[in-house]
Amino acid sequence: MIELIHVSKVFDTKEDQIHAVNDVSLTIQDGEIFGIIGYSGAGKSTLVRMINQLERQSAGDVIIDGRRMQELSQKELNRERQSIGMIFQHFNLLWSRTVRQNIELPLEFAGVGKQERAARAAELIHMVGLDGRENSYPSELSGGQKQRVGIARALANNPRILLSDEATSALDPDTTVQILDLLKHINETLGITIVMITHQMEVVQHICSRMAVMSEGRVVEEGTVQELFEHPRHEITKRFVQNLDDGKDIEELAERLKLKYPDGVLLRATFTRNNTDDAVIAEAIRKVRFPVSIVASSITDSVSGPYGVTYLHLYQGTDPEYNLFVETLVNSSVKVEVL
Amino acid sequence: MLDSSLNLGQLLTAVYETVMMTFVSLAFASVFGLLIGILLYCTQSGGLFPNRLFNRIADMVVNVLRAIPFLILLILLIPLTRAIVGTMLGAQAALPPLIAASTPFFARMCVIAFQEVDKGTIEASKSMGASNGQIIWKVLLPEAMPAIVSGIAVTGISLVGYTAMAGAIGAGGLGNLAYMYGFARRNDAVLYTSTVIIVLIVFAIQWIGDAIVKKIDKR
Repeated sequence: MIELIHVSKVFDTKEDQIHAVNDVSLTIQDGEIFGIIGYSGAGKSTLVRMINQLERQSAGDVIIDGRRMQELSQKELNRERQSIGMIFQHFNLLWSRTVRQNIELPLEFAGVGKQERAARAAELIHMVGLDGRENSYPSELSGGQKQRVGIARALANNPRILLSDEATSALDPDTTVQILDLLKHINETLGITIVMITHQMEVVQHICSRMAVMSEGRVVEEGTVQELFEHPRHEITKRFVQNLDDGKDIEELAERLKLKYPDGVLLRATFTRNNTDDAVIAEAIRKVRFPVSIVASSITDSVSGPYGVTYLHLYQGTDPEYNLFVETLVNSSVKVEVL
Repeated sequence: MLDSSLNLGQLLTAVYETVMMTFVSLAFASVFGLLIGILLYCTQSGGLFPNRLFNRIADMVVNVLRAIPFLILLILLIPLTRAIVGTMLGAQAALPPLIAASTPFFARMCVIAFQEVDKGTIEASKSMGASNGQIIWKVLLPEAMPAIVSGIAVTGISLVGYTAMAGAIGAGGLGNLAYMYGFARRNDAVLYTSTVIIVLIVFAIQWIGDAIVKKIDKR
């Protein structure tokens, strides 16, 4: 169990003091995946670093399994850290070491013998799905593969806790899902407690059971993911949930339309302030002979002016004709995506 | 009478002296410079073991030594050289000032090399429970190695130049040969031959350094 009790972190600068973390109390149970979400600068990175004492709190207690972390000697702390793995946004692998050697690094720190190290590394490489890449250098790997090495490295000493500091923020959406599935699998099979720091609601939604929302150094809302999704109370939480719905709606609509219109070509045209007033589509339609139907459309008033999304279905035409149509729209600075 | 012949034995001795002076002092400078570089890097604020007083003093010593022109350092160190080597003539007598001049130079290059190491890898090592010694030995040094090796090459090249200056005031080597025989006795053959050999030594050091860097840099 991880207990943070009234922890604060104050950074002294020349002019004044910055309260990066302000009187936060949280309890994270064994075996759960706990999400801490917040915008950048909310203090979540500082908070997670207090758990393994990479940042010392200015006030309050950090207690892991009944041990007060701030009272440990450096030696005891180093031993304790071996049972708290950590993964990072930018992976933080050593470029001078191969995949296998990177994974063996924490074992070297822990004084594990050479043969045991090799055996454990082989086991971990298989577990994170990097078979065949053990002798590659990080520079030869994709982002997703690098994070797999980071995860294997963090698990090398059989930790009870895994801290994840924006571990998927540098990855594309597909890779993010793969990495999240891997973390979930690790949580389920090894029973490791995972603390996820993120600014992506998708991440929390995908794998966390409970979550806390941070803003300006404070935890503004805490609860199960389901509770917070269904009944967000704080402004920040509402904003996170809102962003997620927008993205989901657009994708869902596209999927539905694709099923409905399997033939021809389906386009998503995004208009901005500059061209919503012009009869752009009408002009493009006039230039071609095949039928074009508007199958869905919406105009939103945003801060930067109205912007509209229109789904067009083209059929009974040939590819060159379709291309001509797309070109006409693009020339009027409409963003066109072929679905 | 002016001598325009090229004495091969004399030339080989000079080459040997230059190479010896360069590589012996480079070896010392590499070890001392690396140690000082590690101390400077680790004691700076936010480092592995911050110590403001030590950092300030060491930094100042390094800067002062680097600021003194080598020719003046040679003269200033004469008493020290006499005390250590027993003489102020010959290639051996050039070693203390050569080491004194190149060590701070290389130490500074090491600090730059360490600063280029991704701070994230050091933080990650701390999160794994590494001690400071382990971080220096297993993370900092290997990750900075290509920059350290090119620093050794650059230091070696500047040492070749220093040996020529030391040679001109009696330390032997190609600098001495070029100055005493080539210039003072107007022997162009000696002057140009010495110059060409010095240039070749510099090229060789650069080439070896580049080759090693290329081999160990996996970025």
